[in-house]
Amino acid sequence: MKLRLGNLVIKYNDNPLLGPIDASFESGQLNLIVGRSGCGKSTLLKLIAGFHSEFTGAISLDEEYFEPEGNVALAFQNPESLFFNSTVFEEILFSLTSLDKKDNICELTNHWMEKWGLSPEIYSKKYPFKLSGGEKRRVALAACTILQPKIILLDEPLAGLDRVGQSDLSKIIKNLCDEHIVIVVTHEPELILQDNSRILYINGKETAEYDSNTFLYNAVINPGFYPIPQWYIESVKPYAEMYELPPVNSESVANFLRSIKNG
Amino acid sequence: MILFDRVSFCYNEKETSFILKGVSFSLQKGIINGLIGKNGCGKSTLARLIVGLLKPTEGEIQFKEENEDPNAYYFSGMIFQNPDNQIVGTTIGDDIAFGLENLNLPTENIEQLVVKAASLFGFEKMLDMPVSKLSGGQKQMLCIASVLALEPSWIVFDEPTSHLDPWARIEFWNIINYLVDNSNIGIIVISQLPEDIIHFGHISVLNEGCIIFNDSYDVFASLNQPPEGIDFPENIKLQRLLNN
Repeated sequence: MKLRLGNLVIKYNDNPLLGPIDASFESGQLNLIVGRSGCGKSTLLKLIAGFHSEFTGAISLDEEYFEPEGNVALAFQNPESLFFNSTVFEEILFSLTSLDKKDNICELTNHWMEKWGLSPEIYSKKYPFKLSGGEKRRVALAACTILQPKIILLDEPLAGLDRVGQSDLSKIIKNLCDEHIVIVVTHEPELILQDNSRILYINGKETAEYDSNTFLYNAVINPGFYPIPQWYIESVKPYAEMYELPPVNSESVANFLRSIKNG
Repeated sequence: MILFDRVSFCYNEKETSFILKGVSFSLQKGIINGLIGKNGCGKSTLARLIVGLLKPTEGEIQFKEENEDPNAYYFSGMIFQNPDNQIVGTTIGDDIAFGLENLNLPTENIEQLVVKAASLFGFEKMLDMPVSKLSGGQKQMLCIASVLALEPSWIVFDEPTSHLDPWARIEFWNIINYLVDNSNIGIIVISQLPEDIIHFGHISVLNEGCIIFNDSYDVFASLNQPPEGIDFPENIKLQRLLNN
């Protein structure tokens, strides 16, 4: 599946906010959007979800006219603040019942709980408000995605979680990419970046697309491009011209440095 | 210096479970004091005790200064996690002036102090700008300017980087380092992000209402295991992996 933005200009009160953007988001890869606060990242997500209609240009899904309704799930920042049911199961099931779906809804709920790393035996009857931050986030995202949309839009899904919660959630998000077009707005691309990531980088009103390695290379060589952690730059910069750069975590960097040392 | 002398705290007098349990330690000026610990360990309660929003159930918190004036009063300011919850003015100038107006200062003094605080962050020519037009990072800076205008003795930052983009995080740490080097304001930063820990000069780790570590960053980095509930920053982990 491929979502294409063609010559897209996002406007706000008749003034151009961002663009023109020519970009594509595909399933089978993790699509990241990065850029400074206020650059229009969240507005772009809202536009794809059909909540922002002031734009020019075209959006197509597999070369056909793109209709957001029924195709998109958008999880806002801190989605767990919208909980209102008394058990995790009811919270996740709710969007199915609200659409009057009746067939297999319990099986479907269990299936999506498993997908988000929430074993139904353990979590079904738990009170959502008493879960840890990482668990709450997964419940909220399961509730957003249970309608099986083709496109899943996540706005800062890792923000405010501790390191364990971020790592667990990153793995689940990566697994969703096989069957969905997953688009993630993030301030911490280094936590989620993988070999098959594509990054839409927004700088002022302009945008550019990068693969994972080119993005890391630019960030290492040019400190103004994107602020990734200093320890990473210091460790890998001497080898950036010759080798494909490792993910931004201590274990991957240690393996990278060892393999260079051992030839 | 802030001295905690056997400080305990519980929110409800009838409850027997204390949020803080007889905590004794001290924090110095001239370095960034980091206060870390997992969710629910009592960090934010400790912060509220320092700024006087809460009073200890038992024990005492003392503020001591060099060349101490016995009549001096020490004010501590706090920067909350989400800047939107702290901004009260409709414009940058209004927001910085708000605290000063509440101290009943003469208008002329307020204007001078507003310009002085605003100029530290490049806001001096934007005093009439609506706060709604500021980015997340700029809002955080405005909160700091509004607290600095009150000339506090200490400032406590509660998870200040969690709402900032990576560029704004760099700006934030530059400002904190500037304050440490160029002012007599004590700095305490609460955070659970491993990347923030590398900026701390002194680290206090809180776990289940008790201080389980209270020493310099270098001592922290040389521990065999991180204190309970804490993850080492990636730079320390990498060093250890390469040394093994």
